[in-house]
Amino acid sequence: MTPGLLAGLLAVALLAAAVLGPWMLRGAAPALVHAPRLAVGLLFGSVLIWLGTALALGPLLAWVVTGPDVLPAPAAQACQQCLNAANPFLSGGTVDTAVPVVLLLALPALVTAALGTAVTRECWRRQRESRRTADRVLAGATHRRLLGHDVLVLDDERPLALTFPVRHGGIALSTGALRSLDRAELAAVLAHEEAHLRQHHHLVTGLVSSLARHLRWVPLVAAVEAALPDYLEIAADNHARQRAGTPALVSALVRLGERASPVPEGQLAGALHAAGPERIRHLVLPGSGAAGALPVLAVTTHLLVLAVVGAAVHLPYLLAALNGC
Amino acid sequence: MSRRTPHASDLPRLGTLEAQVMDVLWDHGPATVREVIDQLAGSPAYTTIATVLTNLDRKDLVTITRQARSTRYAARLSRQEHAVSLMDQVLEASRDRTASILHFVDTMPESDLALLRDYLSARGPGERS
Repeated sequence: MTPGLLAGLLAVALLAAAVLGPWMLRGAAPALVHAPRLAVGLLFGSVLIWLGTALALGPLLAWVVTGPDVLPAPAAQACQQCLNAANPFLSGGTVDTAVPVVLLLALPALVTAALGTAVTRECWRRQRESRRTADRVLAGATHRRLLGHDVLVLDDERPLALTFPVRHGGIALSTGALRSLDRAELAAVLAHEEAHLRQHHHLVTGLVSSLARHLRWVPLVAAVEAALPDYLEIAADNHARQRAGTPALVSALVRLGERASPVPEGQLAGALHAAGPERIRHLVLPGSGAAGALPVLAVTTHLLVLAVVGAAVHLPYLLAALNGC
Repeated sequence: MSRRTPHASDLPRLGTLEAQVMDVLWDHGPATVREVIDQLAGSPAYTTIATVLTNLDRKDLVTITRQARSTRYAARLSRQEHAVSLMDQVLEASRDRTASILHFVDTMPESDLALLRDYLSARGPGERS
């Protein structure tokens, strides 16, 4: 296969993943819901792989095209030497275009640098925001040890159960929540919140949301961002069910859910959750059978192919750079 | 962004001294600058507390009543009301996912609540496992 054809196929595969990804994830939800932690990995991985492979498109094309000289001769020579050292398709012919080759390398590098900086800044901003919010919410909270868990108790009549990142306070329950829950329900809520902390759900949410802030225009990324919270909740629910039993968890959800001002159908951000599973339906009416298995297989295969092609482009460049071209 | 909601940074932020002064007003009711100073440890300067109260007025947290030659300051909301309104705004902000807060259950549609209730009633009262 010529690199030109490969680049064309890769562009189509990336476009298909970006546009059809949400639809495939929705189809895969009935199967993914049975392994929510795996689902979280798949969702997160799909964004990283898509992005990494998209950034490989320019370097791949650089092996196959020639363009006008824009660099001074010595720089152009060094650049060409590196390009040749990395190029596994040297024997193939090249296509002459109006695009300077250096642009195909510089543009992805610039996008990587800009995105890396923007995501890091966004992560920092979220950290600060989270710390500030935690400080405000937990200002008057008191520490208590409940059923073996360290909990901050807020003096608030509303039934609130929240989890902040550990370093910002961890699990917080309101006095209203404590009053509404019996012992088994409380155990379910605490196990659920503990799972959020142990499985680093704040970190996953933070990273994906920070990436999505700049890449939400890609339908796949928007769908991943929307579906992720549901899988995180289901993962935490599973832990709570193991610890306290499904009835206790369901009962706790009713007690806290019916007081959290239920909303009429259609007023939730329905479109945003379209790619995700339904947490409550899975809890009380778990599906069985092979539904969703084919889409999972299709998504996984597609991602693997993208990852392999992406790595096959990035690695030769990396090795060439390490070996001094 | 269409989903953007008020940030925690939009809330009136209380400094340490501001919080102490609000505590005095909440614990002892309306007070003059001098009365506030008497309740605070370390006897801060009159101008310092007068400035703090002016700032709290600017943040809409106190009301000012002028009687004869004295000016009395009172908390606009009770401590409980203030905590609730603060929490309301913070919870609202947290739904934007800008702050890393995970809710056990946030808003739940009636249909989901009905599913949960059906599950419990199908099991019968008192069944736990």
